[in-house]
Parts: sequence; C-alpha cells; structure tokens
Amino acid sequence: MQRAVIVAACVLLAGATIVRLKRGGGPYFQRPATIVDHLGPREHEVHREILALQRAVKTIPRGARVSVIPDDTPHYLTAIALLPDQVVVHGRGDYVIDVR
Amino acid sequence: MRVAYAFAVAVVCVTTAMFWASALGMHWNAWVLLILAVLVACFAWVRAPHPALRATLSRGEREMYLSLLSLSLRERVAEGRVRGARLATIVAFALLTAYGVLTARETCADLLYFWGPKAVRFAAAGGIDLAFLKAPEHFLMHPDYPPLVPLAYAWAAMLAGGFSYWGPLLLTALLLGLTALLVPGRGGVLMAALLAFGYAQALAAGAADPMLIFFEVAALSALTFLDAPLLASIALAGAAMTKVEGAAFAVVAIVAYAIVSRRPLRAIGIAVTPAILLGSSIAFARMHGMIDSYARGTTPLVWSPEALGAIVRSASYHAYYLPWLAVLLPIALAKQLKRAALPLLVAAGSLAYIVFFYMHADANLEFWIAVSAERVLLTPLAALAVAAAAASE
Repeated sequence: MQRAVIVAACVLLAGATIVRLKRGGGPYFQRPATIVDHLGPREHEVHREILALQRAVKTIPRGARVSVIPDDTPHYLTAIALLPDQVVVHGRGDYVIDVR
Repeated sequence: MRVAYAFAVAVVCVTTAMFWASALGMHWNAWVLLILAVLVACFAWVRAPHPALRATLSRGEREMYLSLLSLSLRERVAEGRVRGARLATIVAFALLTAYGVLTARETCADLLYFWGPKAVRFAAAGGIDLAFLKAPEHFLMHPDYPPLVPLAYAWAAMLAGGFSYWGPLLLTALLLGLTALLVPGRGGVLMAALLAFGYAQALAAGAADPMLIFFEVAALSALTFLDAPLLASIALAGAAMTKVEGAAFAVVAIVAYAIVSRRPLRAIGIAVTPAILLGSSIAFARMHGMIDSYARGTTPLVWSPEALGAIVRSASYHAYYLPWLAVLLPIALAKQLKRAALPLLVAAGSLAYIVFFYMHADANLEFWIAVSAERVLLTPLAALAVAAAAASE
C-alpha cells in the first residue's frame, strides 16, 4: 500500500512539475535569450533590462559610471550583476541605460 | 550515496579554505583548491560509511544484510534491477529540472540580485571583496550573509575562466540528483519528485536553497540511516554557512538528535563544526563592520493571523498541498514510525522556526512571505521525505 502511495505521489508530482514548467510559455526547445525568459505568463520585470545590458556591455568601457532607468532596486541590482567591469551608480552616470 | 557525501564534504572544505585564505589576506589559487577538493572528496568517498556496514544495526537488520550477501544470482539480478530503476528515476527527475533551468523556467531572482554579483566580484578579486560588500549602495546584498554559495560559485568561475549565470542554474539539477541519492530506497525517488516540483514552483534555481536542502538532507540522512555524527556535523556546518536559516536548522537538528538518541554529549560534538565555521564567519563580518542579518534580534515578535494565513496559502504550492500529501501519506501508512522520530522532530522544529521568523514585523511582510515561503518551506518538506523513507525502510 505504502509503495503504491509513493509511486502515485511521484507520478502526480512529475505531472505538476510539467504543468508548472509549461506555464512559462513557449518556445519550449529553443535556447532562451536570458535567464528569466519563461518564469511566468508575464514578462519578468528585468527581462528587457538584461537584453539591453547584454548589448551595452560590449560598448561601454571598463570603469565607466553607468546608471539605469528605472533606478529601483531590482533594476539597479541587475545592472550590478551584468556590468561587473563598470561602476553602477544611482542617479546619473556617464552612461544612462533607459529600459522603460 | 557516498558520492553525494563526498561532494558535500569537498564543498564545505574548499569554501572553508577560501574563507580562511581571505580572512588571512591570502589570494585564492583555483587549481590548488581543485586539488584540495579532489583529495577531500576521495577521502570522504572512501571513509563514508555504507548503510550495510554501520555499527548500530539491530540484530534483525544485521541478519537481513547478511542474508542479502548470500543472495542467489537470480536474486542479485533482481536487486540490481530495482536499484537501476531507482537511479534511472532519480536521473529522470534531475533531467526534468535541467530542462527547466536551461530553458529559463526556474530561475530565482536572487541569483541576479546578490548571489551572482558577489561571486563575480569575489572571483575577480581572488578573495572576498570587502570593498564591494561594504559599499553602502550594496547593502541590500546582505554583506554579512553566510558566504558558502558565492564562494562555491566564485571557485567555479575561476576554474572556468569566467562566470556564467547558467552555471548555478545547472548546478540546481545536479544538487537535486545528489540530494535524492542521499535517501535510500523509494524515499530517494520521492525526494527527487518532491524537489523537482518544489524547485520549479518556488523558482529556486540558482539561489542558495538547493544547496541548503542538500546539506540539510545530508545531515539528516547521516544521522537517520548511517549514524555518522562526523558527516552530520560537516553537513550541518555547510547548512549554517549557506543561509541564515541553515543555522536555525542546525540547532533544531542537534537538539532533536540529543532528544531522540539520548546522547547529549554526542550531540554537543556534532555542534562543534557548525559553531566554529559560523562563529568565524560572524566574527569576520563583525571585524569588518558588516553585521546586518545577524543583528536583527531587536525586531519585535508580532503574532499576526494575516502572516499565518499567508504562510498557509504559500504552503499550498498552488497544487492543493500536493507536496505535503506526497510526504505525509506514506508516513501515515508506515509501521515503523519510531525510526522516523528524528526527521519528524526536525520537520516540526523547522516549521516552528519558519513561523517564528515570519512573525517578526516587517514593512512588506506579505510580499516577503509571497516571494520566499515556498522556497523556505522546502526544508520541512524534505525532512518529512526523509521521515517517509526511514519509516518505510
């Protein structure tokens, strides 16, 4: 009996996992552009910022002061994450990346 | 199982070496650390006890294992098939998680907001970057947070020659597989299924939670199935150095072990490694003026029915409480509940400290619970999965 319950639980959990993964939407077998592409039905708040920063990082010189708009916590921390060779500042930097 | 323990011991030893090198002002060398990791992992793999060889077997258990040794060829083949099916199922759940993380469906935002940035800066500096941690604009990254995860990520980045945010995501799938291997029998498969769903639903990939769950299950399994206090002590040290909740888990596990085993001196011995590592980490943070997370004792305790309601709602995992049913039903049907006493007590204790933490006033309590409770509640769920395995062994 216990064995059957464990097997049933594993099958149900596997099904629930697949349903959860499907909620992020397609395409299902393509390499995503960012690590937040399919987290839910809506676009993640920093998705556009990551795309912009991935382009910008190739052109902004090392050590440059960079700021992002909007300047809230998630966008600010994401800029720090993706611009390790630049200095991310609040307010106005030498380079301003607007991702609104 | 021994592979998983070897991995746990190697991670704790390498990150401890990195921490102490930084504390003493020495630069890291990724290759020296790699040699250390390989040596420690090999030593732990050889020395980790096998369930069949543990010293505390009851007479019936010993007879069972002896009878296994005298199995006929046909019975051995059948036994091998069962083990193969178990391993294949665990690998299948790990691959499902690998698909989820590599198609960006399970990422935890904390990877972007602080685990990743810390690792990048630490790898570039060849040590714990104090200037980065102490900068007021980085205060939200919790400068005094236990350093094991960013240290492990930084080491991998140094070996690979750069940091990729996909690395920690893929590590989640590996950790899921290793965590499941720590639990013997069908319980390992249940653990894999539970964590595959839990990590997907809670968006835990890349955060510290998969590492924390790994160490917690390693400690519980070492005490429940192997009676190996040294392994448990190292794993609890890993948990305490991974997240703030890890220290609370270590306290609960050690107290529960003292109660269940009635060996308080042995329990105190288990506490030594976590106490030394966490104590040195807090002392390091205090010395450099970075105390934050560990200085919140003054926040008042406020009993809030709304907070309790939010925790209960999060506990449903938007799946009608399926994870809880999946681990509680096998326990309810078990005939050997005594063997599951330790993980059951730890599950109850971890639920208690989770509610206790959430009952401390915070301006955004509902938001805090909504974004974290599903991940944090994986700890009691994992303890219950170990209990289910112990009760059905």
